[in-house]
Amino acid sequence: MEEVQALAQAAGISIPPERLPLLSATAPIVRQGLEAMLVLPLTDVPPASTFFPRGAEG
Amino acid sequence: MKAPDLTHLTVAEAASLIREGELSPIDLVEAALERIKALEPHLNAFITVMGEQALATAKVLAQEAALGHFRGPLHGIPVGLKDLFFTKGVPTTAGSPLLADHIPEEDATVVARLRQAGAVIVGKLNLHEFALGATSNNPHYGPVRNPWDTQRVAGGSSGGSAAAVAVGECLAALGTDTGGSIRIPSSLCGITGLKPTYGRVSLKGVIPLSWSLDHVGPMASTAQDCALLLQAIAGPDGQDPTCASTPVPDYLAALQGGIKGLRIGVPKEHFWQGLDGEVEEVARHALEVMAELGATLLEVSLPYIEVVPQAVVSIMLPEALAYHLPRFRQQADCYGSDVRLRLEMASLIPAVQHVQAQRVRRLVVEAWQELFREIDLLATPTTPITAPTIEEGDLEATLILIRNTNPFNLTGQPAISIPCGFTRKGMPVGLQLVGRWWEEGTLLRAAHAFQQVTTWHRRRPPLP
Repeated sequence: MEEVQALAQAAGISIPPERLPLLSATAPIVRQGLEAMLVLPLTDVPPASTFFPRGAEG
Repeated sequence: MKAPDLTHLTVAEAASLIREGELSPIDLVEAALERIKALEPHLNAFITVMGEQALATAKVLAQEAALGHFRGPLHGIPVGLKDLFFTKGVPTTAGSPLLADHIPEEDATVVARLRQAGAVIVGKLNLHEFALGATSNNPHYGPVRNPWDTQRVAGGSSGGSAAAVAVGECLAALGTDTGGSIRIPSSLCGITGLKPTYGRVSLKGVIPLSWSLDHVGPMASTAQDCALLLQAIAGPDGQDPTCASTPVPDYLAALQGGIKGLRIGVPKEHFWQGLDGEVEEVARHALEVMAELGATLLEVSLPYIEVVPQAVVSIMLPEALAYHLPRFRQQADCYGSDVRLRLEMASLIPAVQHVQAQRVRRLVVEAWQELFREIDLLATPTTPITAPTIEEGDLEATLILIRNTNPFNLTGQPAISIPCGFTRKGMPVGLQLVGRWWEEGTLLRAAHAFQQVTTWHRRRPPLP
């Protein structure tokens, strides 16, 4: 719970004590995403650009 | 015709009657406003009803019609807007008390385009707070109730849009879709909803949830009506860097031709697993109808589908928090508990996870582009379940409801939900069709062909 509180505080968000247990319970679920993505063949894959460049889409 | 009869017309039918001089925009808008007055105590689909403005506009449009002048294909058609779209001089709340007094000075690009096409805006529609959830159980403005069973959710986040269209409070509406928010409520309320390709429709003047996943699209009774609305709102917008310059085809012309020979992929994994039994039964029957119409069904696998939902979350939540952070730091108490939790969760996602998700996004898009060389469309149930009850809460329901829709927000592909049947309890089931990038016409053609031989889209909820 302390780690969760610290991460939120790093973003400038304060978590009231009564909300910490619920948020802490979701943390492992959120983090699973990173572990699952790390096993993919991403070596030569750069990030997708957020937006389609004008005139080059399609 | 009496009010329910008028408001149960499709957009295409009403537009045709107006053009032929057999229906006045004033009568049609008055009928919609009567419907709103009668049904809102049951549904709570609207946050703001724009009755006076709508009637004033209808009178002008009626005068123009009498002189043979028609602004466009939506001349005199009552349309509702999810309350995320900027409307000049009219509150735009995003379903939040924080924006209760937010009155934009300009219309969103798509709102201006609807007005140019002759649409009459009848009001601003209730939604999941800030569009960050899939039930439309809004703690501040009240839950949107499903017109097929008012104890159940309308789905979200464009829940008010779907409920209002389903009962004829407006003939069509605009929604937004970041993880399924057009398609999910369309499925749960028994209407047709289209999420176009990312970049096809401007996001200028639309309160964002997640810039790289947000889409704007039409919600209506039929695919033909969605085609009419998409035609009005699609196309380049110099004020929106996310909006593409890709030419917009003639979507009404694209409806014709049937689906004989079309190759429809049916995923083996993920989308057809863990379904409610009746949802699967109804959706598989819809595939049989597609096959009878001449489509070829092909079993396919979508590479990397197992990590796609996690990649979506890893992009959506940080982008959402980036937008909300200044306000959220100061006024977190003003957010509903579920939305607050999601924004707090976003702060736990490390930057490296967001970047990895963007890499996965490229990997998935490239792999699925390959797959879509072998198929023309993909078919799945829109949602694994029908509408849950309002009492069931939000967190778990949202996770289930977005499962089949959010992959196509990651890839930006066009996707449509069409009514394809009902459970024995009378709740609607939706079929999702997904197309190649920029090929909304193929989607609309397949949906239209299905609606020419079925009547599910014609059924109306059991309300007075």
